[in-house]
Amino acid sequence: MISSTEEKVKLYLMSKGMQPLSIDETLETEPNLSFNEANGSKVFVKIPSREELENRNAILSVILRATSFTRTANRVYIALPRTYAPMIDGAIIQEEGLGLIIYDEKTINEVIAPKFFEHQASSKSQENLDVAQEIEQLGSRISQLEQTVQTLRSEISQLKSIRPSVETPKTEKTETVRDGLPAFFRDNAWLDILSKRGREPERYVS
Amino acid sequence: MSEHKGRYTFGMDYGTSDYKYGPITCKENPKVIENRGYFPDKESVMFKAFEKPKDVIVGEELPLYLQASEDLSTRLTYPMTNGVIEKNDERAWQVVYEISRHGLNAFKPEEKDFEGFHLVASVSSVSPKYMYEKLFEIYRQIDEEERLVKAATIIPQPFAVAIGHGITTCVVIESGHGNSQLCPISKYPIRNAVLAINRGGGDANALTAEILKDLGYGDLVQQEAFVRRVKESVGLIPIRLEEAVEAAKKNPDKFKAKFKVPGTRIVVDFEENSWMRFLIGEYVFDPNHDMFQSYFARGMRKPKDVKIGDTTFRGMLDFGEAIVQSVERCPVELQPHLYREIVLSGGNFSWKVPEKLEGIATDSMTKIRLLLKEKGITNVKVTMTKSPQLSVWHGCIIYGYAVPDDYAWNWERMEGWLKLYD
Repeated sequence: MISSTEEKVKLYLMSKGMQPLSIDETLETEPNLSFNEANGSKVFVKIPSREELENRNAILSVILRATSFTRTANRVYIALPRTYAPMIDGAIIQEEGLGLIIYDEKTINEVIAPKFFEHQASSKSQENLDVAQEIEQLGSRISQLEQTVQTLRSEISQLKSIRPSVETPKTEKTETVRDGLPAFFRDNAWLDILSKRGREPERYVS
Repeated sequence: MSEHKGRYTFGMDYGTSDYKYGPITCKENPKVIENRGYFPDKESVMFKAFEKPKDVIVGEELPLYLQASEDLSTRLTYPMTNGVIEKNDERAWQVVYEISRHGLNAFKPEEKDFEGFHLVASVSSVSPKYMYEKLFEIYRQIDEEERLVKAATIIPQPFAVAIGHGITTCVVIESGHGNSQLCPISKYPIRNAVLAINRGGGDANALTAEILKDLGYGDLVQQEAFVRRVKESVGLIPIRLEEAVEAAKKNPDKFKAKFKVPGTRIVVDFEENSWMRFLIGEYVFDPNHDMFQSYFARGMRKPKDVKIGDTTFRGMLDFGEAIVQSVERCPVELQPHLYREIVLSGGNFSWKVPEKLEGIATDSMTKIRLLLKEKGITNVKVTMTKSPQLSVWHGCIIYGYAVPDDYAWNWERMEGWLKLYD
C-alpha cells in the first residue's frame, strides 16, 4: 500500500519530470520508490519507516543500506521528515553520493542533490531494458488511470448518499464546553468566589 | 461566562519535572511533557543547511536528540528543578519561552478571528516577583510573534491545587521530587505564610540507596529509577517509628520486604533487616530521629537550609512543625479553620499500607494528623487531592474560566488579568 509520504515524494519527483517505475522485487533491499529520468537513468528513493527513525544510529544504518542501491540505480535519494533531519550530519550523506529530500506536512524539498553513478550495460541488454521500462511505464500509467476512475466512482456514490447538512463539523481542538463543563467544575465553591473578583471589597492577606 | 473563555481558557503548570498544558476543551486531561529543553550542537552541517535552525528542542521529539550527544549535562536543561529560576539564567528562560510557545501552538485554533487564549500559568509559591515579570515578558513576546495570548495571569501552584480541589480555606502541602511547599489559602493565597522545605521524594530515594548499600546491593544504587522502584514497593510510613522497628525486629516474617524487578532476575530481599523499610517513609515526614544519624555520619547528604532567590528552603523541618509555623503566621481567628482542611498534593505523599500491617504502618494523611497531635493540634482534617498530578492544571482552568475578564492584574495582590494588547 502506498503511504501518504510516498505519494507526496512521488508527486514531487514527477513534477521534476521523472516517470514512476514499479519496484524490482528481486532486489535484496527494496527502495520505496523507483523512477526513470528523461535520459533513461534510474532513480531510487528510500523513505525510512517510523521504526527506522527510532534514533540516530537507526537512521545511519538506513543510510548505509541505501548506498547499496547505487549498484543498480544511477541516483539515490533518502527522504527524511524535517524534524529528524538535523540529527544527521549532511556531510555523511554527501560523501556517500546520496541525495536528501526533506519534508513536513506542508513542504517538500531537495536539500542535497545526489551524485550520478554510471552503470555499464551491453547494447542488447540496454535495448531489452528500454523495452521493459517502456512497458513498465505504460503499466504504471494504466494503473494510475484505473485508480483515478475508482476514486471518482466512489466519490460520486458518496455524494449521492449525502444529504445537505446545515451544521459544520467541529474539530477536537475548538469544541466548546457548552454541553457540559469538565467534571472538576462540578459543585466547585471557587466558581462563585472567583467570579466576584473585583466586584466586592478585597480581604486578601499578604 | 463568555463564549470565548468557554473555548479558549488555557492552563499551564510548570512543575519541577513535568509541564502540563492545554485549553479547557481538553476536559479532564491536559497534555504532559517533561519540563526540560535540549540545546543541540549548532555547528552540525545540517543545522547550517536549514532555514530556521532551532536553538532549543522541547517536547516529544527531544528524546531523539539525546542519543545524538554524549554530553547531556551541558546540553539538557531542567529550568524549574527547585521552583525558582535565577534572574540571569538565560538558558533556563530560553527553555521556558520555547516550552510555553510549544504548548500554545499545539492547540492554536484554525479560526481566522481567533484573538488569543486566556492563559493561566502556575508556578511554585516561592517564585519571586521577577519570575512573574519575566514570564509576562515571555507571553508578550509569543503574542507579538504569533497572536496566541489575549490575556495572561500567573497563580501559585498550591492556590491552584486548592481551587482544583474545591476547598476555599485550607493549607496546601505540595511535595514533589526536589522540595515541598506549604501555603495557607483563605480565598486568596496568604503569601507571607508560605514555607518551603528543601526535602522531597529525591531525599527518600537517597536514604533508600544507603539502605540498599548496607544490604549488599551497592552495585545497583547508581540507577535512580531502580532505587525509586524499591522505595515505592518496600517503603512504609510508621505510625510511630520506634514501635514499628521493634515489632518488625521481633517478627521479621510478618514484615518481610522482598522486591523482584519485573522482567529481570534481580530480587531485593531485606530478610532480617525488613524493619528498615519504616525508615524510608519516616524520613519524608520527619528526618530528625536518632536512627538517621548513622546515615548522615557515613556521608549521606543531610537536607540543608538553602537560600534560593529570596526564599530560605528549610532542610530538617518536620512536616508537623512546618504546618504549625506556616499557620501561625496567619490571623489567629483563621488558624483553626486552616487546621481543619489540610490538603496534600504531589507524588511524595503516595504510600501503600499493606492490609496485615495496619496498626503499625499508615498513610500520609494519618501521619500528618499524628505529627500535629504531637504538637497539641487536634481537630484536624487531612485529605489528598483527587488527582495529585493534574489538580494544578484543573485549578488553572477553573480560575481562568471564572475570574471576570475586566479584573485587571495588580502587582500588590498578584492577581488578575494582564491584557497583552488592546
